[in-house]
Amino acid sequence: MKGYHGRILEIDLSTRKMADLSLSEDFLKKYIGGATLAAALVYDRLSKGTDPLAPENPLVFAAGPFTGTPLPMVSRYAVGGISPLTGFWGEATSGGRFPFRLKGSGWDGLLVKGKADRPVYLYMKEGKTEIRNASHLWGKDSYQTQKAIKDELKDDSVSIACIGSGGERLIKYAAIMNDSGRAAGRCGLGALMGSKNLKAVAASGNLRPELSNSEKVRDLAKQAVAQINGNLVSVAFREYGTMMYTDMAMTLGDAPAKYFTKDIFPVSKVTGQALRQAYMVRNYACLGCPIGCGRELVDFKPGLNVDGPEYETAVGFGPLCLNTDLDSIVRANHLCNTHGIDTISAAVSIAYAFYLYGLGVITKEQVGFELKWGDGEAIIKLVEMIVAQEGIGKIFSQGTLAMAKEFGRNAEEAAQVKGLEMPMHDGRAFHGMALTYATNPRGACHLKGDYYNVDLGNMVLEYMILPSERLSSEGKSEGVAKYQSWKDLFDSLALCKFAPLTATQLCEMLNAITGWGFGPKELLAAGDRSINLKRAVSNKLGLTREHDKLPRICLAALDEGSTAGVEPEMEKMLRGYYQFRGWDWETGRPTKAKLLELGLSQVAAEMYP
Amino acid sequence: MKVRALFQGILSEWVGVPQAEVDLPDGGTLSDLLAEIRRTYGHNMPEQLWDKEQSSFNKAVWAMRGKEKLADPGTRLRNGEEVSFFLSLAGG
Repeated sequence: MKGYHGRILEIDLSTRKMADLSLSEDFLKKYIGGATLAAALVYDRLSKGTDPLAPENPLVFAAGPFTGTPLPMVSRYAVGGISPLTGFWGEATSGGRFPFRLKGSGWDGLLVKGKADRPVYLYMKEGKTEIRNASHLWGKDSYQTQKAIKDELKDDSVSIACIGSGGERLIKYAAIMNDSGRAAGRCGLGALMGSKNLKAVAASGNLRPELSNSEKVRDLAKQAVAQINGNLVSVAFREYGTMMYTDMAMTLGDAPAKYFTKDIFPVSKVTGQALRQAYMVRNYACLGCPIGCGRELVDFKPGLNVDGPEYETAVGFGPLCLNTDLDSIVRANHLCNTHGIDTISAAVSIAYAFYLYGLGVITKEQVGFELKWGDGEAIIKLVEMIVAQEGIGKIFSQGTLAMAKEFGRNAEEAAQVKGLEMPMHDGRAFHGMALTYATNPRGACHLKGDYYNVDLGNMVLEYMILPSERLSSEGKSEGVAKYQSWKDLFDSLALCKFAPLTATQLCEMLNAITGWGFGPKELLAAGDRSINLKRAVSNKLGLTREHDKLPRICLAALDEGSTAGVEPEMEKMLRGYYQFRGWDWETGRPTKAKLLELGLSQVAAEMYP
Repeated sequence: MKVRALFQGILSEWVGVPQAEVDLPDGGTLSDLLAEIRRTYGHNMPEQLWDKEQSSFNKAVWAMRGKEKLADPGTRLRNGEEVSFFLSLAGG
């Protein structure tokens, strides 16, 4: 087998037993790697009604076939399991150095089950793994933890993924942090890690699986780097980070404001340009990336460098809370990273708190201070209360759906899908995004896919995914389904979503690494299979069509701005989507025929006994 | 005639000015405006911003007249009009 180690490290923390789980080439051809590999492993270990935080629930870290190769933009890994936030399939991805080290440790990934009797961390290095005591690390934040482990191991090449107090306290949207402030942020998988008393995974080494055609991989890498560098979006990301989109997003009505009730906001204070003007900014890159979209703010406070906010975070703690104070946005972001919580879910939950306060549903007495829209200091205090599980902050740490329930509000007010908070691309500005959010395997996810890019003109010609009128719900179903499958592949191969590469290129790369014979058709089929497999995981956990919906707060037409008067036609788009996907309208499940077509015969047999 | 070009967002930094008043011959077109922008400000721009084959901005740059997206370089402009240039790059 080429391109893979062909094994996953399986650890039961209850018994401290470790074993290699062999992965056959046929299995890998089917599931590729990354998040899809994680889904395949989780599916086999699920039983209906599993409590996400029950010890038997597995947590999988997985690299992909691209990880660790000379290709650019491939230092990515995925984490998968049952989401403590949604109760359905959960996944998150991150970059940095950790993915290379995970693969370099000698495994394609790691499956953790059970629960340690005291805090531990894992040290994986070149085919050997130790379960080490982490009692002295419990209570340390994510930056302190990474430093302490590095100091302890005295291993220059080690890279660490860990939890902060968010994961330790089982906050439902706790993140897994790696390489300083990189986050596998969504779905609360940090809480899953915390529930196992697993403080960190430290990975080290440089074991690389043999490639089928190393020379070809190097040539493809060279071509890809030239292509990436010649691409305008690379220049924009390098110079301004993902915040480069903030002002355009507001112009298009894509950046939500005032808890999804407005799309007009003086955004110039929270753009990539504003960040560069306000702070000394340097960019940093994941291993092997020629772009470097990450931001580091040097001497944000004397002697303190912090990670700059991404677009999602800047809009979440900015316009969504009507906040123009960039400094408070940076501090809120840093707090979330320090303690390991997802900035999107945190920001949306806090914006909902402002909204509820404005309605008089929650009071100054309950909160402890006033919640006036745009108050950056109040945002900081709320993040601190969420992290500390203090007072009403404990309720805000459960996410918007739980907040609506707790305060006796209609769930249509909770800005989430399947329990996962809405990202900062408004479905009213791009109707394809509304459908994407409604149907994505993990809930409201802007990464599979970023359909707003399609309707801005970035078509995928090989799959005939073509732009259409962004404010219309016509003709979106098929494009959205195909684009989800296409973007899902990036998390299987383990490739950054910003890589401007074609399906033909990805096939050439995959084939040169593995010796396989994938063409664009087989590649997209693998993406379809992945989406359906993840759907099946969630179906097993109780997901139905009723969960494929956006709440009214994110759908109701706004009365001003560039999307004024426009509302996505959800049922129409959904019906077309279900038809194209081969999903059953009544049950919300993939049909038996579709599962068999995708080679998911075991899933078909279980779903249709 | 005079036409005002507005460069939105990070385009203002890449072009070097947030806006410019451009002199064009009567009956001038979008193509004429682009040529003038390139001649005056081209030295500031990242090379990826300009499509040499099309003698135009990279296709990711939208030219808007009010709510109308100007796709045809032959579009005639009128004295006193404003054309806004947006970068339709998204992500994050």
